[in-house]
Amino acid sequence: MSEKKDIKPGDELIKEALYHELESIEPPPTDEAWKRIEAELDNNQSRTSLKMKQDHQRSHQQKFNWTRYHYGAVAAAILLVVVLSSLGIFNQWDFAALPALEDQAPVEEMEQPEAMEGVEDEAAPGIMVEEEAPAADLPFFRRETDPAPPDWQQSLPDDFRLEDVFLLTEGEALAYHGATYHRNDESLLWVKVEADHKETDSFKENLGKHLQVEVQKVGVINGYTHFEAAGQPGLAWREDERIQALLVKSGTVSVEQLKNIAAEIN
Amino acid sequence: MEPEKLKELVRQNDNEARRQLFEAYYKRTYSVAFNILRRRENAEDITQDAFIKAFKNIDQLKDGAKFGAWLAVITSNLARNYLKREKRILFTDEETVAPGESEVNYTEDSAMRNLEIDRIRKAIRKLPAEQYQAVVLQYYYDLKVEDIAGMLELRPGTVKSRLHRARQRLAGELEQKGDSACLLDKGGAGDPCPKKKT
Repeated sequence: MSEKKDIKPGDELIKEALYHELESIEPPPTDEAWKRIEAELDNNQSRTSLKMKQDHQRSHQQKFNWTRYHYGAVAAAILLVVVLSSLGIFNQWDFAALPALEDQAPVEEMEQPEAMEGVEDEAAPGIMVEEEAPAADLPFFRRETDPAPPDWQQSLPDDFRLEDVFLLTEGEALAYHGATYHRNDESLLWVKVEADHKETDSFKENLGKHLQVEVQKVGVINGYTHFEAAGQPGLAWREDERIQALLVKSGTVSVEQLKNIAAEIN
Repeated sequence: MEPEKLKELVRQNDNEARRQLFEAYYKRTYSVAFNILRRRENAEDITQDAFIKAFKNIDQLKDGAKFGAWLAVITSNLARNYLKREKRILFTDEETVAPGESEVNYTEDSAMRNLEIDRIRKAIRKLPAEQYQAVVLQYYYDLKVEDIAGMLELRPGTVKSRLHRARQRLAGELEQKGDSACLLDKGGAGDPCPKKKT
């Protein structure tokens, strides 16, 4: 028997009470609400079209490059091999030239770690260093392999894709589980930490230590603590016994967009 | 317009279709949010977020005719998450008298029933969010337990249990007033429960 047909007198009473309850509440005027919804959806649509356009251009470009150049490149390589072979270059290679090459190679190898360490150690509070390569793009905190990472989602709303998973450690600060998500040139950092009430107050301070920037509370939006880290927006919230934060690492993601993403991952 | 047609238009980012759905469901969506949050500004934010989320994820709605119930699930989930984040217990600290409650014109015949309805309304406001969610879906949107379970991604048994606990809680709230028998179906031969007037 369907539930509808199984209505008891008590159910009728609840039904009527609920009807009165929902129908009697007077919402604020629709215009403002609609404007915000419309703006947010338009914003989302333009981002989607931009992404589609970029994807299209990228695929077109890839196709263009391949069809135009690959035959030429192969032909040039063959020609080079033939010419070099005919000149006997491979057999008479001057190994004396190698030291010069060896001199260069270690410099390149050594410069990268030095530059990374320098950025990590010298990054001044309040300054966020912009980097291009996402893999080495974490100059403002120390990270280690996370031995027991939480179950990170593969993607976030609005096409942000999981990029990296790690553990943030910094001195005595409580270690935070971290993950970065990437979309074009925008990157988000999501952190999670198991914490009780005593640790809530130190969350911001610890986050600042991990990021090596000053974290400032801006206010509260929809129950999220809105903060700024080096001018980039972030949101923090408590979910059961876990404190979480989602912040913009690079790019221009608005706090509004951030809020929508945070709402959907909850 | 047909619900399925509206859904398809929304899927194609038709602004008119969105606006139509917004106008049709704004009030009840706001009411669902308000009844969980009991704060106007929060209910406003959650209502807007719910519409944005619904329009962006319209592909996930299987049956266009159930847009209202689906939106109510989104709204109540957002509101519940909000409460979890805030760790607030808002059900008892704001004994807000909803508009309309005091505007009821009691006639001699309907006075008792209206009084009971008012009591239940107050008790409904004190329901935990997950029970309120189930109650709204069953009693306001007339959904079957299986449908509610599908929408909330729960087992039907869990939904039944939430509904049962909600009734128990409503009965508990009304116990002092002697109305609980109606809600727990314990009326017996001398059923004191008011019957719906048609």
